[in-house]
Amino acid sequence: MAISLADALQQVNLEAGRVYQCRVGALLVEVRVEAGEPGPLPAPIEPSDVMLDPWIDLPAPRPGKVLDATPAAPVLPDAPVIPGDHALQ
Amino acid sequence: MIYSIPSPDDPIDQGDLVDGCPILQIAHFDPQLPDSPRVACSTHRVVVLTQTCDLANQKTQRVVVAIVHSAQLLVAQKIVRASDVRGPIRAGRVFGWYFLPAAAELGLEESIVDFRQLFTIPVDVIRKLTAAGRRQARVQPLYREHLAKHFSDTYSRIGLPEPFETQ
Repeated sequence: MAISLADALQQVNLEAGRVYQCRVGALLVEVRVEAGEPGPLPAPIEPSDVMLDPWIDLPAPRPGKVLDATPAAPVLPDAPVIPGDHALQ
Repeated sequence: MIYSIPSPDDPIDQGDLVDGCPILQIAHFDPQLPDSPRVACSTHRVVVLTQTCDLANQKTQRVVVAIVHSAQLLVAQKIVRASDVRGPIRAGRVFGWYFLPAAAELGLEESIVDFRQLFTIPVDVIRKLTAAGRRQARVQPLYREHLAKHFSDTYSRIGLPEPFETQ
């Protein structure tokens, strides 16, 4: 049965920084073990990075003088400035 | 310097702090008499939020303003804690609330702008107030843009049901 070197080494308890040597038949095999790149660390949310929603309503304007309102004309929007066709060319 | 002092005849600009602005509220409303609600009026220090370009080009007849609250008063009324003012509010980490630092030489105390209650005021009313010397100060560029960014963030934020999971 032939297995890959990687599969074979999976079965060995290797330690980073060490060099292992062994004979396989007439061959001398050396395995140098180096630590790989560390994986991403767990990233807990940093509280100081989090925006907060207000937890209370700030006071509304204090009631002042109370008056009876009178009917008025509806408030119309400000007329928008719409560019002409020539402005798009 | 965070603030400047515009002269009374300077045009209105975003970041202007204006005292004595009349704010109207509906005090009583009867759906059976929709044309005659009772209206309450009070005056407040406000900050102008309308974009400078709209004001400069006279594209608007109304000015968006927000009330400027005294931070000390809010703390005294136990509405917010002093530690919250010094911490997250001052750091700009609370959507809808914007901290303005004190400037003793201008008579400005530490304040909190409430972006969650907005009012539109006829531009003529603000002009009359500024001409009468009621403009206390103007938030300078950079700080003004910082304020405007926080204002826009308050209304453009998108809330997720819950934070993303992490490993």
